[in-house]
Amino acid sequence: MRPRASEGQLAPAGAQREDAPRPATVALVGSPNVGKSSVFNPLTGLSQHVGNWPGKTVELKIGLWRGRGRTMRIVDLPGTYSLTANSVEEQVTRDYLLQERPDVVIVVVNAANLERTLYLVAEALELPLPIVVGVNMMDVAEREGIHVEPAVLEAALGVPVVPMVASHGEGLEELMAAVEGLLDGDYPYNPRHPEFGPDLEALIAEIDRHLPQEGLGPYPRRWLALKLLEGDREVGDLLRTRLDAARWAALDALLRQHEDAVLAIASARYEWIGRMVRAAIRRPKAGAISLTERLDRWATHPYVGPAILATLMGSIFWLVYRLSQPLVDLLGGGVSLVADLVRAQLAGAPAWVGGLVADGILGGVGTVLTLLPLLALFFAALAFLEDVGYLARGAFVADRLMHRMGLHGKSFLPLFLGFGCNVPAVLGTRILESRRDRLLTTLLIPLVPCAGRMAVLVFITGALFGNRGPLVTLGVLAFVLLTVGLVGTLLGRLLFPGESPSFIMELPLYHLPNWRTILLHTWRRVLDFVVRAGTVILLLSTAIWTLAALPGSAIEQSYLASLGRLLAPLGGLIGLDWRMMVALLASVVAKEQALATMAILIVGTEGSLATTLPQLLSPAAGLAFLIVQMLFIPCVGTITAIVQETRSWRWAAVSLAYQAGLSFGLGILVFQVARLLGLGA
Amino acid sequence: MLMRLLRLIAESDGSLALPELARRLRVSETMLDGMIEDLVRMGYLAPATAGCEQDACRHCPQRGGCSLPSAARLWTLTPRGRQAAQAFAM
Repeated sequence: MRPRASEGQLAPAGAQREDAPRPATVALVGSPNVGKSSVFNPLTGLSQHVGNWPGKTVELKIGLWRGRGRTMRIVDLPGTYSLTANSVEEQVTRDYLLQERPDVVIVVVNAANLERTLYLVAEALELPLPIVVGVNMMDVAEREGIHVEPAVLEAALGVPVVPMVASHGEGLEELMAAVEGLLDGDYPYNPRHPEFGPDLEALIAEIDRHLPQEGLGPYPRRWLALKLLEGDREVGDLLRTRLDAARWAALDALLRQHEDAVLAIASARYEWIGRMVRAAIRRPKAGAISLTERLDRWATHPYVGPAILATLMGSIFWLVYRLSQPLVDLLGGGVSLVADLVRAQLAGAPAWVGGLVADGILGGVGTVLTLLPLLALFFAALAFLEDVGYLARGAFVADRLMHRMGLHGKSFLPLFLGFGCNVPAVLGTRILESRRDRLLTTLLIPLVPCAGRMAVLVFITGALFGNRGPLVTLGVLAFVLLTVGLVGTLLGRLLFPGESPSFIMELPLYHLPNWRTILLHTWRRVLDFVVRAGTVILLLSTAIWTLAALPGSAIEQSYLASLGRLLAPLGGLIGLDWRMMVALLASVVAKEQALATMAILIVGTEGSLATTLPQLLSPAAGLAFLIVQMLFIPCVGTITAIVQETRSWRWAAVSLAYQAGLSFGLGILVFQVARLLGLGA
Repeated sequence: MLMRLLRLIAESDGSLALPELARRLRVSETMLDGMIEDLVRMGYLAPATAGCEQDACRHCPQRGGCSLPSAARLWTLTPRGRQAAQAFAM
């Protein structure tokens, strides 16, 4: 508690010269941005000066109001939402009110935001001070369709209520007349406080019995009891110094026993605010509900929301696929053409030079770069959904589904991030508090289809299934997401049992797209993809071509073929030869590398990967490959992130082992089912 | 009212959007905003980090084009909040 203000610092009400008639002091309080200055400035004009509350740097403005033969000191206190000492402003305001005891307190509230600003009124009414409520910004409220009825509010509060548009000087005369009415005793002052109920009142009385009979200074006993129950540290410190150790220990034990009483106190105030608002405010009718609210009734609906999300994502895949496929084919043809030209140009050079540049670099990196139109459109579609405000709804709906599977509400954030890239998603698990949730989410993230895997999926479905490509893409994606859900449920319930708490989420408003932002987001992600193609993919393509070309005879006798044949028995279970198995293995470096490797190992001097692939893979083998590659072991970057975040190789090994087993297990299942359905030829 | 809010979050089958929560509590979103702010201050709710503001994304090459819905504000129950919700549910 601060000492009483000394003269010269603040010149409080009690510090006037004894021979001069003491002007009444009126304190002006209110939440930030309620227009308190618009009240204070016209009332005091040029008579203002600035003072400091002792020991604090917070400024108090003081001025004189003169009218109808009276003079009053107006003290403009710092803006505050409540009278609990959470901030220096709140502390100064309440200390001033309690220690200086102004003759009247004007609480300024915002008519357009009455619910938020009435909390201060609820607290001020608990002080032994006369209150006048100035309802400012009536014009703003009217413009927003909120009609406040001051007379009804006054009847409900039992204190004078004055409507104002202080910025236009409206209501200021009436405000001061109300202050005068209170000072002169003309107003039947009968404040209606929040009601705390019998249990809380009994507790307040019990706290009161622990308080000393003397030495509490200007602080009302009931107010002290309430603040103690609200956990106010400053009040606690004061009482600790006023009570002997044993009595303080008894009081402290009682407070600890009822530490959630703060909820009951605040609830009572909110119930009271609710009653005041229901009585005194007329809101816009249903027809005036905002567009965002109307759209969200469907977009976040428990059943319609997921259907909208699935339809929207399905439509995006279909559209992106249809629009990009001709461009991808065109670029594929272009890469083949350039490779032929390079081969012709390098005809005179050693054979390995032409092979490396045309088959290794252009075949590998070029094939990956043909995906640019597809990825650019996909990134643009996601950026569009985010920019108009839908993506947050999508995340909200997805979170609900995940919650039903037993996942932590917060897990959806990193899991959602995994759709872009698994590496930042694993790093993002830091936002989860418990190790259980971090581990569970970390083990699930590598199953989320990242952009690299999506590119491989779309390319291969296009090459193998033609017009049915988009449908197959959606089918594989649905299968993968279902797997994520089932694995999450199993891990969550069997290995990591625990609670799955929920969120409150504030969703952004829907708005028209900002094309510049969308283009910028798309450009950044495309650039990232191109940089990866020009670095990681280029290096690995060169290495793979070299291993496939050495020791110099046919590719079937190469070092890479020897390595690949070790994997061939496993590949045989899902209809894949050693080249596809090597492509799968190469994807551990970067998921797009699977395509680059296929292009190097499969495509000869004629055609492109898209035209060659159907000759090598049956639809059943293609589907099995896609399932395996979508769920296959994480890339090197993700493995490193798992080790970094779990600080253990053990969990990285668990991730590798279970994903290898899961991917091949499901791959074999899909292959066998597809063969039974006649897709094996 | 605040106890009911905590219970609604604890018992919810998935996350809750502000408008839906406001409807269930029969209060305006503005008032709900204030209630959430108070519960955060009292230590019953905690804001959850979303988007690339978090430190984890500092070195991510994709942070510029991250599609995480960073505009959404989120709050979750703290251990104290969970405990209080359980106590009031009894």
